[in-house]
Amino acid sequence: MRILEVKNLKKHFFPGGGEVLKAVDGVSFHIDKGETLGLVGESGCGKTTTGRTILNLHEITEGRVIFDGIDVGASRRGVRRELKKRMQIIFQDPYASLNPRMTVGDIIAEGIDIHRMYRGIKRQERVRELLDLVGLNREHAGRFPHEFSGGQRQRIGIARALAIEPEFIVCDEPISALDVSIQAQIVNLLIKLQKELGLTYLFIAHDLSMVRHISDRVGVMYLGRLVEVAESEELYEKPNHPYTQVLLGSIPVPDPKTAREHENIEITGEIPSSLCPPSGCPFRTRCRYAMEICSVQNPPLKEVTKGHYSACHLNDKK
Amino acid sequence: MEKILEVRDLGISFHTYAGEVEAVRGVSFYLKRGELLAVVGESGCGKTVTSKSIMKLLPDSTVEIKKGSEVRFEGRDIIKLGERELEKVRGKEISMIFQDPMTSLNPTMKIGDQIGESLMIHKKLSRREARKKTLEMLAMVNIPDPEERIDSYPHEFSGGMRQRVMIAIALSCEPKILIADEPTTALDVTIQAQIMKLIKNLQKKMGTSVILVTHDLGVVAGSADRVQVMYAGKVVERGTTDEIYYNPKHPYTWALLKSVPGAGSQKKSELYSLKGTPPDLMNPPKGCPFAARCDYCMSVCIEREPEETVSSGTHGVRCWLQHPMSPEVKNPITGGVR
Amino acid sequence: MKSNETDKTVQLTPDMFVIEGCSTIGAEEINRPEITYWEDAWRRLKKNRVAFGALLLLIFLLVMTATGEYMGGYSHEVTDSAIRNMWPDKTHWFGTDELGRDLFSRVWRGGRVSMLMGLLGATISTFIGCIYGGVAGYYGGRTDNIMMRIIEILTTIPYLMVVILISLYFGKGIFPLILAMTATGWCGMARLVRGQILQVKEQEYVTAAIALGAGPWRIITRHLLTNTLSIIIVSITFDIPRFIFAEAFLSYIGLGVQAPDTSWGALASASQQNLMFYPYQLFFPALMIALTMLSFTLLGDGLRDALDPKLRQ
Repeated sequence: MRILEVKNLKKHFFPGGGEVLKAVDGVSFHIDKGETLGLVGESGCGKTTTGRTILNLHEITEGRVIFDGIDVGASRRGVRRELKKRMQIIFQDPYASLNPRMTVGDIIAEGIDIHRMYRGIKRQERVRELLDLVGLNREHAGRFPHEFSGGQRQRIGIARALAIEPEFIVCDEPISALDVSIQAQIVNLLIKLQKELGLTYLFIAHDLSMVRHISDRVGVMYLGRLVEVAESEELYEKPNHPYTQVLLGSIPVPDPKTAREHENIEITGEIPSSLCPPSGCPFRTRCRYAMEICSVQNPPLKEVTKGHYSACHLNDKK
Repeated sequence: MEKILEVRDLGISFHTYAGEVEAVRGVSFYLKRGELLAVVGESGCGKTVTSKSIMKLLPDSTVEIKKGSEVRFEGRDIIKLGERELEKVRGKEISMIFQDPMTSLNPTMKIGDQIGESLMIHKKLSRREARKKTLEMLAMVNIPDPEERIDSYPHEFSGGMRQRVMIAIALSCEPKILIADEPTTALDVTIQAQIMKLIKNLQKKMGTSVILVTHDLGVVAGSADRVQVMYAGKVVERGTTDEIYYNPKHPYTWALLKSVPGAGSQKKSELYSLKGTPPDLMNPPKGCPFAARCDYCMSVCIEREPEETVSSGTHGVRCWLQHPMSPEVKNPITGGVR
Repeated sequence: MKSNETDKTVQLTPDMFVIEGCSTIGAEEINRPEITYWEDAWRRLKKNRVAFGALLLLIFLLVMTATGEYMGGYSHEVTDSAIRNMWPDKTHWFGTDELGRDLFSRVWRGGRVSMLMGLLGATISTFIGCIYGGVAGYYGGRTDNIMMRIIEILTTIPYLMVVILISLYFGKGIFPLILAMTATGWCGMARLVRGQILQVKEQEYVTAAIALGAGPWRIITRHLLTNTLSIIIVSITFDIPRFIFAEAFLSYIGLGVQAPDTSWGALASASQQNLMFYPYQLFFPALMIALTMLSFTLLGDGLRDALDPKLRQ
């Protein structure tokens, strides 16, 4: 059952002087209930903006976001407010995403307070429950964020998102700022919560190995466009789009023998600016297979094999 | 191959309002000419403090370098040097590049001038000569159109380019040692690959010895000759890259290697994760610092710190499991025993 | 050497080598004592000797302005032509003025007025400035633009012109004094608050609150203002001496406090004619103005360092 549908989503920024920053430029995908869709890409690809636009933290420039049949962009304020209880977000930076002047208990209960879900003793109980759920000590509700480590703060952020009982959570690079051993803790927690509470995730990250582990399907973005979507094993074993191939080839493998023998696919050049993306296919300036048609026409996302979509003119030949 | 750098018993503490934080507790290691040593560990393990102390870049007011610490560069103890002599060493003999190229470059100076500054001070080159050498350096770090970019400002470059500029500055005076403190952590993975390749190439070309501080085990596997793993201010294991990856002996190293999901692991299965957090260095435990989180903890581990057991000349471990009185344990990485 | 240095004489026995695994009790413990932001700030302030000294001096001055008037045993307004213009001595510690009034009690009584005016002016300015800056910062965009341009226009009007216009319309006295001080005095605070709010607005915890469904009121009060508080406090501390000086200036030119009431500025003004012969009449009020301003400024410096979260240790 599709809980989220994104149709040709565009988010453009206007920094002034007539310039347009096309952060998200026509992205379409869907997520089924209980599923995790991973979204990967490098800086400037628009994955974070996509996640935030879905939650209406940025206004949609064009396109539609449909959550459980409700068109988010076209809804009235009241409906959107109710939707906030069902769609939540976890942030990347555990140091910046918690108000340093609020106690942990108040931070976690903020959603509860805003939507007036519990008061008094019940509120306290709920906060304690949430602390337990994320593996923190119940007694710490009165402490302040700076007294906790990065991993613990991230858990506080997760508890805050869970407080209002959402069905869908955008995980915006939740582990990028954490140490490797703590990353595993958080990923395990997210998986456990998904199983227990039936959550659906949009997992945005640039750590490809973690994404592979937690996601059912993965989408790859480049310069505001979705260039490939497939089931995660399929994507990692048989990447179709040249950019995906380069991306996967760049992952440093923690194995000296493989690292020595395997010559990583070298990619030249820098990521172009989103202010003036290349015409046609955005990746053509760095693609070793670039053809004439690539500078003229932006290849659409087409199904290559069942469930595996890729946006590349190379597939047209087949 | 001779040792160009020898660190012995390095102890560094920070004096804070709440007490003394022992960031580095008796660290010893060496660096041979032309090799790349990776220092691996998580936040708070002391690796950055250690690397900064090699050039005495730590703030004087709160930092105490313990008596008995020695940092010998080509025989001379750097810790004993005065500020003037240190200035001759920094940039010329030992250079450093940092994690965030945005804040390590002066935003109001053209990058050509920043590279040239070092050359004019240390190599006493004239402005014209420095400019020529700067262009060479820019080409060496693969910055396109060096003639034009030499007069650009840092904000006109992307992250990867800025990091290359930093490398150019660091290597311009052909130092004997380059200390790279998490040089690729803030970069995208494709740019990371480019930068690591660049560092390795330049290292071979110029014969520079490199100390690479990082937490990324993938990056280490691809570039390091030797690795040392730090935890809570101590070196818990050291060895050649092959030794550490294929025959690790310390439970913390095992945990690190197991935390990265491998290609074969089952989707959404529970990843191995360490419980708890590193110890508070204001009150470091008297025994092994890893005891509280170690699956193989024994009562001796809590009582006393393990000594280093050295095998094969290069492979050292600080762990009580190495002691003959401890039981045989299955090595989770190799599958073998101990 | 630390006391938990390994004791090498402990014997190693086989029973110490039994694997027990780690205990997870205490894994999520926090060892440091709870310390709130304000407690930490106070502690840091105390450590700063200069700032703490300034604080003590300030408290002393405040106490004196409250009670100093009654200490000497002389009234501040009773005139006595027999003891006119007397230099400071054992009975009249600060001497007497033109009309034979005891200067010690006049200085402290005047000090009360000066302090009050300074505090009042600072409070009103802060209030107006916070609201104005808060609205401009929160809404941003065109609203912010217009509001800031208004401030710019206000600050370009010469201060003396404002003062003269006010005195023409409202005459002399306490009310026009306060009006003159605060007419444009709030602009600095407004700019400061607006700038800070623009910055805090970008913090991720504000985004998180928006994502949870928080409305503008909650965001402004719970998130924006609370994190701007330290800046506001420091600014007030710097504003007070400005207003004390402004009051002194305005009273000096005759706009403010009228006889027989007095303030430090008024005292300075009155002593002008006798400056050549009786400089002590100017010396004491001027000294008090200087000391007060200095201690507020030093305290403000110290507060700024103490409240700066980046300097937390």
